[in-house]
Amino acid sequence: MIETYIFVATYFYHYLLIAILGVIAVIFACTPLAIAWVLAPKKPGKTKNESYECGIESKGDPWMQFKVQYYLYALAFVIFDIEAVFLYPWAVAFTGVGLGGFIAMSVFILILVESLIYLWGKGLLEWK
Amino acid sequence: MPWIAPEILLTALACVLLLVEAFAKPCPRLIGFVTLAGIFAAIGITIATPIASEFYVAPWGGLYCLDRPAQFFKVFFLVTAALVTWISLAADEESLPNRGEFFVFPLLTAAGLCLLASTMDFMVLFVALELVTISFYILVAYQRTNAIALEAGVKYLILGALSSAFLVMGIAYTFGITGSTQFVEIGRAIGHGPLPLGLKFGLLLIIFGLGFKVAAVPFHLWAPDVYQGAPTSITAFLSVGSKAAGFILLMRVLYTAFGSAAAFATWIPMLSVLAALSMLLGNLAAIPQRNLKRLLAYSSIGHSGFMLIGIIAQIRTPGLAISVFIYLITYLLANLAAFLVIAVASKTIRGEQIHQYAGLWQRSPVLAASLAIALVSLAGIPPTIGFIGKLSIFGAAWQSGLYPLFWIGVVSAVAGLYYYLGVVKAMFWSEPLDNTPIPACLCTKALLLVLSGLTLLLGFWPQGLQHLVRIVQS
Amino acid sequence: MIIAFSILSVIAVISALLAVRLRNLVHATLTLMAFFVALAGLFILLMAEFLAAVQILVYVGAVGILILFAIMLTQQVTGNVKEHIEAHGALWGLAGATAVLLTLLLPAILKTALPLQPVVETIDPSVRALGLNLMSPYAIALQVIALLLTAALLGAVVIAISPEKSEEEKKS
Repeated sequence: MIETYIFVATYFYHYLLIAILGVIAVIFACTPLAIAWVLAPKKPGKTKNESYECGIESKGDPWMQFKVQYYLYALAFVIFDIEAVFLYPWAVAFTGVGLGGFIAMSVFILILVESLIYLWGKGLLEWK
Repeated sequence: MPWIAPEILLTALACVLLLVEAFAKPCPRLIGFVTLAGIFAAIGITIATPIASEFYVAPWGGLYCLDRPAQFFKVFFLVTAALVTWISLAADEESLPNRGEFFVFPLLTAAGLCLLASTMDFMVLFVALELVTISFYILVAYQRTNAIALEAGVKYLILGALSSAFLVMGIAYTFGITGSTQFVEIGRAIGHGPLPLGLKFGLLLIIFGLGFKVAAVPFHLWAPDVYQGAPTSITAFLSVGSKAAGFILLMRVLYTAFGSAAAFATWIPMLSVLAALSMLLGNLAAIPQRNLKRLLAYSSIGHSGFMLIGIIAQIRTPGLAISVFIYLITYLLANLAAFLVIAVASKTIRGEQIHQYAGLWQRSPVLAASLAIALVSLAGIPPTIGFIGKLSIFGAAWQSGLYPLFWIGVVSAVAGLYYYLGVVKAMFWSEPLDNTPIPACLCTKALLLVLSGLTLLLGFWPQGLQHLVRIVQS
Repeated sequence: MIIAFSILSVIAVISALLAVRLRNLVHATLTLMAFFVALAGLFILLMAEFLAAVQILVYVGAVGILILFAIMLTQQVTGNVKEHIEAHGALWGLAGATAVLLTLLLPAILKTALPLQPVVETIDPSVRALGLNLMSPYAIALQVIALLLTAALLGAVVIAISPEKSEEEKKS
């Protein structure tokens, strides 16, 4: 009973650290913006709103339309991301699964590598 | 490992063919023939594998079993996959893009279906079912440039994803209450007590999900559009393979996991409603159809209803539903012959409307005769095997005292005669639109002869069928 | 615990509402990703670490990108279309959802004596237990997942590539 309590307490303690880190990260990113917003003098003028020396005037909508072929890269990314997710429990349990687990995971990865080779063979990995 | 040898063979072949296709770019027909050879090898291995004396296969206790029904269904699925590949080769669907990859999907689907025949665990069931369904999503939408095919693909994808969500939700409820995903363990956890309400809810959701797979009313809405829009060979695969998979899963889940008397009292009313609605709506909605593939879609909904009766009727006898096995054999022979004829004929007549089949007898006697035998068998008229199938279903219903379902079934079967024979009448006694003969290659004719021959032979000699089924039962 | 739960649920509900209501699709996607992060936090509170990892890696990382890609493929991104979609069935939908909740889900949850058997207590939700199960008895499911992913990728290829393009490649 007491062991369970200690386990749960350490579990949440670790995630508490991550949560605190997250909060600090948000504060760290937002504070300079907020300070600039408070302290900076606001006197907008016509010349001030123009782009300053760097680059040319932008034309049209900044949201541009992509070619449909690029969607394939996003889909391939999702597929291999899911593969990575399955590596996580395997890595955690690595000491306990033995040779069988190693073989199982190798076959899993080989099947997916095979689909990557297929993409390569079809010439779909070239960014055109 | 010999137990899952067919699955391993099929998937390994699929992976090799993919690489060959990507790098060597061979003739697509060659890939098709290799696929066919691989499936035949898998059939051989499945038949040759001895059934283990213990029920379960050792390394995965409780996940995977290889009993006679599993073996029967594996052979059933593999024969279907082989015939589907054959139909695709015979139809020579040149319009399909990426023809080489097209033959890889039946291999993956067949591997998934074989796994489904043996699964005794909800986890394995779900991933194998998803493998099958995802392959089907792609196959249905294969003719991307065709608007009807695209509509079919999108409809199948959205409704299929919805049904998978229902299924997995039901599995989650079942797991949460019984604490296991294995069918036998679930059955043990339920015991003989009453079913908790949460478990009833889970059962309902699982039946939703599987009802979609067998296209039972009210989960049939996808079927007509998808059957019409998909390539003909894939329609054949969906109507036979996907449906039979739904039935073996229903049998495994309902008899093994939910096999107590209290569970029967829960799912029998649900399935009875599904069966009655499927039979009536399938057979009545088929009557006004003018497109032959759409007509067969509604007819397949009706056949699902008949087979659901078989599942309900068999609960009082031990073992899996024998009448469903017989019915599935009749359904396989007739349906695949019909779709083979449609695939070959639509090369010449460019369409699937029934009026385009008028006078088919004068244009190609072999195709017309085969299609007529297939339709007569689907209608369940005596000299064919279809009659034996209907007889065994209705006999089981009568013996189990399911009189309302029996009479609804008889009325629906009589309604079914009207539209099946309407097509036969159009083929034999109507004037053809044009008299150009429809060519069919020798292998197609031979295959049609075999399918029609078996349909008639087993109709005259039902002892052969009974003998086969008795082997399965033992 | 309660504080963390309240903060995460407030973030989840607000970002989910924003994801539905915002007119700019890109902003809607970003709030949806915020919702996924909050959900991952809730999973951690339930001690389901693997689900939280999946939520972050797959949903925030991959599915969010996928949705952004899909939006960029379409033309009307900013949603400055004047016509307003009338939500006629909103009340009926709300009534239906409430009815399902009250008549089916709530009684099902309340009346069921959990767990049915003490087996539930022996289930270990840790990532290590998951890994052990996935490698030994469920190895077959793992391989089927690999095949499923291959099939999905293959499907994306054969449906996304137009036949004209592959013919061009053959010529070149």
